[in-house]
Amino acid sequence: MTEQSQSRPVLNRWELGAAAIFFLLGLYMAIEGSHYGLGSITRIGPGFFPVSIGVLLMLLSVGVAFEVRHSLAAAPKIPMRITLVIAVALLSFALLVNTAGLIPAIFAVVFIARFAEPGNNVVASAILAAGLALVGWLAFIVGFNLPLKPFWW
Amino acid sequence: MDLFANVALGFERALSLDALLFCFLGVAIGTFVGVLPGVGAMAAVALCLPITFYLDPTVALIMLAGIFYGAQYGSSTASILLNIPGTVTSAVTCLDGYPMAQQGKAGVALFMVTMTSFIGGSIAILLMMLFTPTIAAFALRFSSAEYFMIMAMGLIAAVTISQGSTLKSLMMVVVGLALGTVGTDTGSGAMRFTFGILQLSDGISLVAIAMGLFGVAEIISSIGRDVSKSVVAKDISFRSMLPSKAEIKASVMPTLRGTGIGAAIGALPGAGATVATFMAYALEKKVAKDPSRFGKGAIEGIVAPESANNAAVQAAFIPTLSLGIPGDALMAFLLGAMMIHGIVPGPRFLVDQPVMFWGLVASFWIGNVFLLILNIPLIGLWVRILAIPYRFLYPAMLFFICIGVFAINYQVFDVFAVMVFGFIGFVMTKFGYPPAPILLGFVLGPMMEEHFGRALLMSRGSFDIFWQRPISAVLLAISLLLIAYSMKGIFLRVRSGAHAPEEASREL
Amino acid sequence: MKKLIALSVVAALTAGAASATYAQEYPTRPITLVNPYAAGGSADLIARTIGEYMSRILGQPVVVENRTGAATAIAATSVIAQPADGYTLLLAGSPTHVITPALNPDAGYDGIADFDFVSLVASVPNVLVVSKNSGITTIDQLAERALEAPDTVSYASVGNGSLPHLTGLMFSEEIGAQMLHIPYPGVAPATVDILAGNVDTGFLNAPALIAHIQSGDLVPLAVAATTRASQLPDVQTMGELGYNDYEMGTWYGVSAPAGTPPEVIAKLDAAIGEVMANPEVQERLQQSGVDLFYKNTADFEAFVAADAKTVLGLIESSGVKNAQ
Repeated sequence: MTEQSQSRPVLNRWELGAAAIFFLLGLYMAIEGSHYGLGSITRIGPGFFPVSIGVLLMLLSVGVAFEVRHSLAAAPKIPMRITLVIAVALLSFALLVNTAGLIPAIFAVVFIARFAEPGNNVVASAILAAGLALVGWLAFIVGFNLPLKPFWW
Repeated sequence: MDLFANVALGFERALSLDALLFCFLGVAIGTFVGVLPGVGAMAAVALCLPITFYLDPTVALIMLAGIFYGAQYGSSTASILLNIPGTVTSAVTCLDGYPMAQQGKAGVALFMVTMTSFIGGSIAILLMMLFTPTIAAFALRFSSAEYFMIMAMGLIAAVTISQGSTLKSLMMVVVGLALGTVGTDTGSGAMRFTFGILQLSDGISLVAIAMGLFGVAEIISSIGRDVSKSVVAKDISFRSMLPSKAEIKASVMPTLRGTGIGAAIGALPGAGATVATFMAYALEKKVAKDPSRFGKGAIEGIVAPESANNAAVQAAFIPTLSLGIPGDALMAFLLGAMMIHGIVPGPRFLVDQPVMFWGLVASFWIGNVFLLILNIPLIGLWVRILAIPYRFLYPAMLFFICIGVFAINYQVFDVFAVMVFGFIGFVMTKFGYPPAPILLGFVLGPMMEEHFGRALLMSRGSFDIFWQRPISAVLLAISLLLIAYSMKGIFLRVRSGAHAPEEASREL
Repeated sequence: MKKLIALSVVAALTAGAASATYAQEYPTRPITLVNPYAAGGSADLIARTIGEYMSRILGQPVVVENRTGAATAIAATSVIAQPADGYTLLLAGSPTHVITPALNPDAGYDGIADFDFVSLVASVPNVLVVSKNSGITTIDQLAERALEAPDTVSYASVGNGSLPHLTGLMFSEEIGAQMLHIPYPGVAPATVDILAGNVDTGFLNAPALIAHIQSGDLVPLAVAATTRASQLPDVQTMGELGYNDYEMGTWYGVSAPAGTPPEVIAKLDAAIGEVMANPEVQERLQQSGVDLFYKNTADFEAFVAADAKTVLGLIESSGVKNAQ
């Protein structure tokens, strides 16, 4: 008690916010799950587990919120540029692999991913992409026979 | 004496030229796909199946099985060097393997996991030779009540795996359970949380979650942090790979315990190697004098799960071959491959096809020797990966993750899922929420629900089934003890309401 | 206007001619046979066997592609999305064409209208089995026990709305006794629980059971088909035992996206007919518990229509769909 009055710890908003997200997730699971039907004890319905999980998640998030309320952790830094570039690289693979073919998809991943770090060498990226294209074509199309085309034609 | 005759018979078959050749081919392909993040044994086995149609059935099985256990050797490589698990079963190896690599002990770590993989696999093969019928009969005594309890125990054990807040770990287990409910409910066939997306009706892809939470999240957090190390010549000499006496001594018991857990879990159809690795790690942390070393490069933290993993994979053949009951999708697949060759595994398989059974078991051991010979020299090569600047490494890793996830179901949707889970995983670790328990919750959740529901169906809604059956009752008691043990720590932390900042925002 | 008609006539004629030559030349490149089930297993055996022998007749490789997922809906929708040119075929079954489109609202396709049917190929019988420790040796004893204690005799299935479930429903309806349905995710765990005595009985796929029947651990009571199973010649059918004739085997056929040129379908059907007449193929399939069940295009269409009627009727009357 005396300790608290000496230096009043501040509430950590970031940590509480994170716990709140999990609380909302639990709430959603419980509400949506209850529409699936809880069933009986003999034959549990499809909603029984989701509702239980949702309730558990809500309880735990309250517990976590109490635990971390005075956490000293600072707001985490999220590197927007890197995150975005990686996301776009993955997206480009997903969009290109079936339409344009495996090799264009590989080039897209490599050339987009290089923007995550400033100052990457274009020639080096081209060599890397070409090397990966060769490995990818040999291993996955020739070797493992995946239903993929190397190019769109 | 009969046993020796049988073993001799098996080795005679397995040492023939064609068997040796395809055994080597299988384990080599296995190592290769195991090393690649995301590309798992399942994809490789499925894709190699057509080749084996032209082989003698025993040789075909030797090769397919070789891919399967070979992948387990390779899978820890990426975990240790890049903090990205090669397959889901080596996710736990990241926890201490990667810190070891960062401390310049990558060679030692790779050497130790190779050795313990060999030991774990060998002991399990020995058990298989001696006790297959007994183990198979015991596995039949497990009904849904026992399965549910053993899975619950696995989940509770998993909570203690991560450092930091037990409550946060517990919450991550529950998030894993939540993710596991997406898709078709086994009991009723109802669609849950699918949002009308057909690809979600089988649930979210496990590999997509693992590669997102571990792989992509790790790449995002490593870029710009320049993790590449200048590897000097002495780091890749053979001497640098050899563990010290103290390290060997510290590894003996964990290896044996890991093997025990792996063999026991592996022999149960359906429980799976992933669970075994988590339990082996949790046990080591429990028995360690100083649990705080875990997560910072404790050698026990890599040898226990890796020996468990390999023991489980070998033991999984016991129910498959002796009962004709496959434990997981991969075993179901091998069973299918046997049926394509006109062989029906079942209780009579050992008696009717002694050459095939014993030849296969003998080949497992030969394959493990091949893997040892193959992997030890490769360590030098793998360690050199650390010398490659990260800016060349990460685009390549992104590609392998993409193709690996895609190759499982040929679904572009799974690549989107990797992207989403990569972002979520990155943000979560920043907030001190560990990703490993999510994986276990996700693997176990659907099975727990299924067994829980079925146990109650069998008991007509009475919970007595969980404590009236002896095996189930023992497992229940252990679980309750584990919970009681964890409660104290949780209570203390919640009351204080504060913890050190570096713990909250630590890296994966 | 006249010009337009003339043009369209010419277009139609050339199209007709093109389709005729197309069918003559077909196939000029590899054909993909999409298998909705995982590699390994009965479906894969059937797909690969007929694929291999078809390619010998057609002179082009028939490549089996396993596209699992969403209770066969992933495979079905991926086939519909391909052009109806005879180069993409589907390994068809009750789930692809009848059960899944009816039960999964997300499936988003019509199992009958969106497809052209080529031929029926094989059938895997479902066999009613009990554990040897149950003391039951005949189907009548099982029925008696189910009548004595309603809702205690349990039967295993491979999921809500699966064929083993629907067959179990038909059986309990026929004998007029409630039986407890216990769903499993697959035939393997269901077999384990019957062996261990955790479940009493079940109509399950023969290939998974044969080894246990031969070893004496499982007792076969009846075959849920109109003809006996080739691997279990001594086991009588439900009809022979005085029950209704259940045609509730798992059938496999070949279908194509709707709008495939009839000449191409005829060519494929002829090839499949030839494959199925080959004794090598027959031996290979029967060895693994798969029964030959060839029907040509017209008969196959009628068969699917009849199957849809029975199965959808059962789904409707049993409330399987409402249970979701």
